[in-house]
Amino acid sequence: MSLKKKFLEIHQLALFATFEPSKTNETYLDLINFLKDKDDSLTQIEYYNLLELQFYLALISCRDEVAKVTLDRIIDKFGDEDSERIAVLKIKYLSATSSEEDAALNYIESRKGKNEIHILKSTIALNKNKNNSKDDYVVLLKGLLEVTPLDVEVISELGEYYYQLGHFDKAIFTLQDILLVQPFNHLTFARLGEIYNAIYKRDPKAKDATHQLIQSQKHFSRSIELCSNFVRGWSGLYISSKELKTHKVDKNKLANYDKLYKLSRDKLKEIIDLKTATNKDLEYASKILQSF
Amino acid sequence: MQVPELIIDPSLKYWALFPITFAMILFGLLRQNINLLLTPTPKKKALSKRREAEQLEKAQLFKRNYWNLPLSDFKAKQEWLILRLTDGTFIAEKPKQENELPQNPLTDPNASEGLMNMAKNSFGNMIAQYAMMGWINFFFTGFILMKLPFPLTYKFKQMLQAGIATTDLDVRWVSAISWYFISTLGLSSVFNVLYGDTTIASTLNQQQQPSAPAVVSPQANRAMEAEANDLKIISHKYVLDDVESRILHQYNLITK
Repeated sequence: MSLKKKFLEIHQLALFATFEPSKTNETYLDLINFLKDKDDSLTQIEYYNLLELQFYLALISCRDEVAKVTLDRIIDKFGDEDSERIAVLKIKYLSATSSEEDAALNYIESRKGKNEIHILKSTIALNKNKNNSKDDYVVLLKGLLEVTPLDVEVISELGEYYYQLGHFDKAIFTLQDILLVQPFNHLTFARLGEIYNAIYKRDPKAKDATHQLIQSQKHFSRSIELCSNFVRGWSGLYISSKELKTHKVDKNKLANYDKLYKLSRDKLKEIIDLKTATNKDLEYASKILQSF
Repeated sequence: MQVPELIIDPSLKYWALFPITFAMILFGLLRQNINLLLTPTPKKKALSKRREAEQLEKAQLFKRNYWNLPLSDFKAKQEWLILRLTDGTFIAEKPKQENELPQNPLTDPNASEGLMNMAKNSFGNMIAQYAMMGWINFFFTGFILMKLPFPLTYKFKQMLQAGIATTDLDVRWVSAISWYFISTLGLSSVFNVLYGDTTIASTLNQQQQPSAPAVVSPQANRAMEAEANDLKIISHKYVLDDVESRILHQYNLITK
């Protein structure tokens, strides 16, 4: 993959949000060098997309001055009044750097067109900790989802919030919507597997405990079916199938669970031996094999 | 009768060929900048319109990817979607009566703005082309500017010798007006170099094409009813039903 393609992908998929600090720093320096010797094949749209990426990377890596200069360059080109996208950048900059607590909210207040979906999203996020009750935040997120039902970021936020509140069934019901938009999202399958496992763990003697554990194991299985080198999926499958072996289930199924348990254990060992995952994942995989 | 070889005055090169080429490049740059200045700021979509479009898309995605949901959740989501699609909650604008004719796009204020922009754009282009054409015609009619270094068939005569009323002249000679047309069509790579951006030159070429009239979208309530009807007849299947056997089979731990 060419360097240009790589940066554009990081920008488009917002991969920088998941980077570790060292990776953020490395990507930032690479991007600065890349933009210095500007590639001829770079169109104006691509160039400004990469400037936006530079802004985010600079902001995340605490290079506030670079972020401000980059933001100013984007504003010089596109103006400051109409663009919702620039307003979002400004909100991000203010909320990350301003010493005033409400600087970003005050900026949002000062904007005339408040019916902008990304601004609404930012407002809800900024007000998250200010809401009087937890239900307020849920209501706001549900309201946002009414207008943008396909925004997986909002769906995920609502699902995770339900999870934090202990409404596991609601969290599952919400996160399933991601699978309607992205049917092969292995991360969501793994997350659902974890939540089913949490339901089981909360009350292992409940009537439907085995069913919840089976659901957990099925979701983890699907996640590794979609991504064969997925440490989180193999770990979940390892734990859930090992647990299932102790339950009263059909003999044939029990044999399958045993095979899945052995397969996941061997696969985790193989990943650790061949080091085919990130250091963090390798560490987790070793811990799971030791603890369970 | 064989026409004797013509001898071209070298000053034609300096006073006709180069000025036309130079004027065409300047003209292209000027037109691009004027177009950029005249391009209206895109209007923001109203939230109600956005909700209508996205909910409709959600119904379509549900229809396509329902196999990721267990039966109970599938039924709950299916019922909810069918109810909301049919009760008109998501409709942004009040639906028209059955017998009411669709609004004339020329009198519809929303559509007329788009038409006006389209007209402005194409009129602007047309006037500019006429002005340029007039300038060439006024100063350079009847000029022969160059000879192509390769032979061509007679069919190219019309293209290469516009404005020259000779039937016997060799096809390889190019007239001033023809040079203008060739430059109009062939300067995109020069603009690519000047702008350093291939997209701008391609938009320049696109602007010369007449735009297609806007397609009138079908009424949202009908589209939603159709989606709701489609949702009603889906029979459920679940991708996780036999996922364990698929995994075991994939790793050769069981045979089918």
